[in-house]
Amino acid sequence: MSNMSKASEYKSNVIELLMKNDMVVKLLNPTPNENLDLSEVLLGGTFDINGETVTEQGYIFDYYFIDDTITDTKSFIMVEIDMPEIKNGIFVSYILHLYICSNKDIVRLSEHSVPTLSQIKAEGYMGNRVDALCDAIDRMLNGNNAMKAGNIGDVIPYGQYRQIFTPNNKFYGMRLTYKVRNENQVDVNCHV
Amino acid sequence: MKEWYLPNPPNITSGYENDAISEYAQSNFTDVLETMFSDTVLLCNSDLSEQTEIKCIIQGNMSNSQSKSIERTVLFPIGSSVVGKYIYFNNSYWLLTGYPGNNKSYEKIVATLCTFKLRWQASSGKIIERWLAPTNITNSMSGTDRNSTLIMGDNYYYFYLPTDNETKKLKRDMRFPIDFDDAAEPEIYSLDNKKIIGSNYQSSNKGGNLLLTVSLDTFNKDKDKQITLEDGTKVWIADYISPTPTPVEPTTPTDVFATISGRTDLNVGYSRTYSATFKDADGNSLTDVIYSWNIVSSFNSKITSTESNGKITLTINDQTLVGQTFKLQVIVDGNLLSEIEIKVSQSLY
Repeated sequence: MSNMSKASEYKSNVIELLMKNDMVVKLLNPTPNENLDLSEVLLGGTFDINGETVTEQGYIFDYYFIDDTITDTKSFIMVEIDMPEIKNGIFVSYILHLYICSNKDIVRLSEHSVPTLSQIKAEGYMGNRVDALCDAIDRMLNGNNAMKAGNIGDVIPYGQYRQIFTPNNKFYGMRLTYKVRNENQVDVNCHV
Repeated sequence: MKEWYLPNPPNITSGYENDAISEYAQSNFTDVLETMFSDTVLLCNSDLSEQTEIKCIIQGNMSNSQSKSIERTVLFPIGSSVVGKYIYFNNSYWLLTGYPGNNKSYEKIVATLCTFKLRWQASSGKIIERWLAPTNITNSMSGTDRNSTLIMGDNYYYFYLPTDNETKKLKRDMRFPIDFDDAAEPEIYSLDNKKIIGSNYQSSNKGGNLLLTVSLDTFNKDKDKQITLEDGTKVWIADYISPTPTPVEPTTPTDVFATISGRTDLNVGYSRTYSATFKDADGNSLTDVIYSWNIVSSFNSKITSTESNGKITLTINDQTLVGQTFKLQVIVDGNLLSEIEIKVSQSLY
């Protein structure tokens, strides 16, 4: 597998972990669609259901933008990978960025929000929606279960580990940054 | 002055014509109101609870531009019009705007066509409705604000509302749906500005309007609700707080038909939610049926189920079960009312 393929695989593995993380899903609070799977709602796309075209914007993206005009109060996670260097031709540094942002109207958690503040506190989280999302994602990647969670590799916080991310005046969020170390991958099937 | 153009013979006893002009100034206008050139309208207060029939003359019916076509000049008997009242004619409400003036013969005021009924919930829980009169309907907004990462909607409306005890309570950041009542997700607008000075004539007992500016916000599925008014109309209300419901004794009618909604394939690793709806023999919807979910399979222990608000969510994480099927049933009073067969499918991702 090439380095680029590996980068795509990391993004895909991280996204799969995000979708299976109950707290992340709870905080994203996706609008259910009775015709679509939860994963389809989270990833978005265009679907053909019984001859009718159904479109979902999605909540989790493997690129650093959100297509379609945002018309609902939502939260989003964008997963991106940088590869700034290959050391000694052997080790590749994959820099994993997770951009987490919520519409300002839903950042604050209270007893009237979904989920409520009590609900997230009961599970050991605190703070506002963005804080709780960062915490849930960090526990997923940076915790002891990171290696077992699925093929992510050696993940460590990197650089500006947590930095404010405000894509516009209506959204508030954070960027989390991790480093994933792996061997330099060269495609052995060279076609001349 | 010539005598021939006066509608009634002048008073000839004083020898001065100005007495006649003063005496007949307003009656001349009321005479015109008795001709075919007058209109009969309903003069209404801001919440439409008081309506009075009144005759007036409506001018400006033949405008040449779209912006002017929603404005009329209305001539009333002196002392009849108040800014912030509505007049109803031609199946439409028109808001009286602009300070009324008179020339000693009649009173003149501007009326602006009301194009939308604004609704919001007061702190008491009551739904307030007011017809709004738009202003500055053309603007140069493209409709979207595109930066490199997110695309947001971008739009503004400017409109007048009558000044009354409810509209005085409107505050910045209050949200209103401004869209069709049957919209699946209406566009929501947030109050940005409330101007009072320019159209407040209450000190001279001439009423007043508020000039409001609202900007496009985003729909919040947890706060913005479609409700049914007393007259049966379904409308959207932003930031709706539902009143505490009166407890209703659940019933189990004898003739009940159930339908299970949800996809018949369940992908390994992901959850799917199913719901049940009930109808009687006549097809009328039933909402108080007591029921339970039941799963029939040879691998029940591998199916994770959670129930919430009457719905059931199922998850299977065992890849070896791909291709197998199981049944999801709705049980009422120990009787099977409906069931669907669900097939376990490959993981999607």
